[in-house]
Amino acid sequence: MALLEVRDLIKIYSSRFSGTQVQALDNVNFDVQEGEFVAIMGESGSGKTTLLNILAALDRPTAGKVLLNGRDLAKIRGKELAAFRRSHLGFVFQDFNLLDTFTNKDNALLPLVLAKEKYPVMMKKLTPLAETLGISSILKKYPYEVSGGQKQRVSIARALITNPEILLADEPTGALDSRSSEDVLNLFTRINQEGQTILMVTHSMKAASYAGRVLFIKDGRVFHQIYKGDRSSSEFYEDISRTLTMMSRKGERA
Amino acid sequence: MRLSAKLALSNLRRNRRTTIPFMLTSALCTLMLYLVISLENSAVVSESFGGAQMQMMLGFGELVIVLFTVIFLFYTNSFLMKQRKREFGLFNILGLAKKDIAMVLFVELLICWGVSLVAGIGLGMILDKGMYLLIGRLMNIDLPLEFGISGAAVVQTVLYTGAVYVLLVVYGFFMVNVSSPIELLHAQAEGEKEPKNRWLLALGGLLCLGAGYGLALWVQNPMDAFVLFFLAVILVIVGTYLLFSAGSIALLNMLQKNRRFYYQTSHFISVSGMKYRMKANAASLANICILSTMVLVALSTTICLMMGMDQSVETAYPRETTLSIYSQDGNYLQDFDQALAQSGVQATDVMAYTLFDIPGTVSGDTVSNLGEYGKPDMRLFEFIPVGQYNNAEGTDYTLEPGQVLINPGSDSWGSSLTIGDRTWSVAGTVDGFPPSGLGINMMGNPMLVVLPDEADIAWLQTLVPEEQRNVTNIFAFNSPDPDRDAGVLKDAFEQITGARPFGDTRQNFALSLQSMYGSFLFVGIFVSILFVMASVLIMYYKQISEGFEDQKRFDIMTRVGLDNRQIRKTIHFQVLAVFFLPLAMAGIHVAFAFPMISKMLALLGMGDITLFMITCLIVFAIFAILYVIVYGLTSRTYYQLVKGMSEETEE
Repeated sequence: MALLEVRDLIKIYSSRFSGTQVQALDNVNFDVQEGEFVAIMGESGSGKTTLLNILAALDRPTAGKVLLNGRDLAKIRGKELAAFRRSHLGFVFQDFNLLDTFTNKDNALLPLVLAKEKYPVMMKKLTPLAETLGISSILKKYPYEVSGGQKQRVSIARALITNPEILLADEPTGALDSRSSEDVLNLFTRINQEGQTILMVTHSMKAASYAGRVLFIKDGRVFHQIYKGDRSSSEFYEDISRTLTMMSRKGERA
Repeated sequence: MRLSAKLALSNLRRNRRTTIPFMLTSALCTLMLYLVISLENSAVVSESFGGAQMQMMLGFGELVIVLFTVIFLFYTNSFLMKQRKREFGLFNILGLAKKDIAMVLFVELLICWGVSLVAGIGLGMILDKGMYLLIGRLMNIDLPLEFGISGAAVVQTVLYTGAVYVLLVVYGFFMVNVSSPIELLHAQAEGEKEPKNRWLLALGGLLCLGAGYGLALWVQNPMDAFVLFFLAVILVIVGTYLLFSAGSIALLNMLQKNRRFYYQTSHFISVSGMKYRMKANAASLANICILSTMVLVALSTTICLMMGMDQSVETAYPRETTLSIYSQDGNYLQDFDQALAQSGVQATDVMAYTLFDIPGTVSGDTVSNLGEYGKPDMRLFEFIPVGQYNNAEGTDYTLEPGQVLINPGSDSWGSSLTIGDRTWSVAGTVDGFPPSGLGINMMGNPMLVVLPDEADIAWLQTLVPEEQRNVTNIFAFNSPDPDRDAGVLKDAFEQITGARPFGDTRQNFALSLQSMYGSFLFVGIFVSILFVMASVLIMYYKQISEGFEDQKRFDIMTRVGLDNRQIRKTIHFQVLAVFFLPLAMAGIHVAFAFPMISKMLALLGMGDITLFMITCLIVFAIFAILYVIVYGLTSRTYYQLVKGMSEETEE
């Protein structure tokens, strides 16, 4: 059984005023195995963010199912959703979403505090994690006092501190310069090698080339997927680039 | 110009969530200013009984209102400007020169001024007559109702508010001119720094507050109270500001350091959120706290004075007419009897007695420094021989030599009393306190000593300087026509003795008291309305700015796994704590000021502490209810903001 199973997912938005309907997702199917690093690529408006929001249980699908470890997300009641999100999912966002009122340490600890963990237990989890992510020295600072790359690493710490089954990343390098992006992606590769399942949404080929598999989404459908296999990142990058070119040509013909 | 006018109008409409309260403030200030000036200039008021006093109080009120108009309008306007910096930056980038933006700003302010003048003065003209009625009622006089518009009030109101708006325009021009478009665009997004610990300031605040409270509790002598009261008020105000700004943050930082406390779900979010809230709101909250305290004190004292007036009158004038005259040695009481017989006044319930009143200093059971004013522990003593006391109060006490009876007022007294080289033993206390015939006793908390013999008074007189050896002869009575009889008796007395007694009827005394307290209460109510308005405004603007900021936090926390209900609960708690802190603090301030204020009230002849306490509690309860209502109304806007924005982000 796959860790994450997405079955026949459909999402239709209807405008509040005109009643026109927009189909954001059109019969999406895919699986994510435990320990995989999957990138989902697509242009703006292709439905990536909608898909991620449904996977994160922030939004509900119009039809279809999402199963995490065999558990149907749609069947989790509203009250338990927050707790479920907290303990099973980790989030990394494009704009970090760190709270300026907390130190970096408190930002990273936030999910544990919400889970009513004891302070010594929290620190036991944070200390090695901060070491891995290279943020030990900036824990006492506030988010507005550190660089974008450091902020993103703090938010990764926040996402990983609950040992989530799956890490959901939404354009994690979107707001970073190329060096910080590379740092963050290398970090993803490393934690993935340590066994962390990652699902990343991006439109950067560079970012996608770090993943083990890339799903291409277009007009709300999974259009194609390619595996990295034994190839190097740069070889994989070429392949991704070719696929994207092909996709856009096909779009022109249609 | 036409473009500027168009832009200005659409700007005002678009920012109505902030411009409407601004115009409302402006119009209300204009209204109050117009009312106060028109009453002050009114011939009807100045010619009435006690009108001069009222005019003086109104002059004071006018000063307060002008001062607060400047503060309010600048406060609300600066809030507007902060929100709109971005808008100005955008205009600038879109090709509107700074000159043009300044023009738009000018037209906007011109419109606001025009609207508030029309609304304020227009409403003022309507309410003017109501004010006359209110004053008439409070002072218990009939003011003739004249319908007329006070030209002087219109001119002065236009001038005063015009001056404030000129300042606002200058400030606006300055703001537009100094900033570059980029700065203007980013002005709102500047990150907030972590509030730093300022222990020294926090400690200073604690000390100021402690000193102020201590002073208020420590002051025994009401005469000192007047001087020290201002010192205490200033200390408490400074202490409040420091505690709200530095103290609150120091406390929250301390809580944050305590890991076992801090790292718990509800504390975690509240404590860190509060820190930033307090940083942004400390000054406003301290303002609300102080304004609330002022409203509470102003209203409860003035209302209490009004309510206690009957009792003050009763204490000072146990009979309808009280006449009194000083004499050094002789006794005028027989002359009163003779005058009564000659004038044919039908006097009943006559109280005739002499007493010796003189200030002295108390230490333990010893009274010293007789006749010396201005000493720190000074108290007024009323010495009366037991025979005179019995005459006055209709009692039949007898005293052995060396014994005294006392009425120690609101203090307690030991078992003996020493003056100079004589010591008496206290045989007991009495309830009666024959008035000294001078209306309200302005020295507060007097003490009565009933001595065994007239000779004791004569001995006391030798202890004081020559010019203070007078005893007071008091002749109080009821009669069919007090006003006429008082004059007739005075004339008769003057014919017999060549000296004219002073004194008045209870009714005249009550009237003068009423006109004084009435003007206190009127101005008290007026100023209170102003202060309540200020508190409402501050609360409203704070809620709006909080709403904008909280939205983002709300959103992030949802994503990280806090459910909506919990978020709403913590935010609600924070907002509640922040807005009810000032009210609680104001309550504590009033509680500590209570002893001092009741001593000052005693000076004004209002000695009923229970009545004052009840008044305070009722005023506080009403104020708290009002506060909750205002809070409820303003927080609706807050939740609309937060909810409205979260819906937008979800789509």
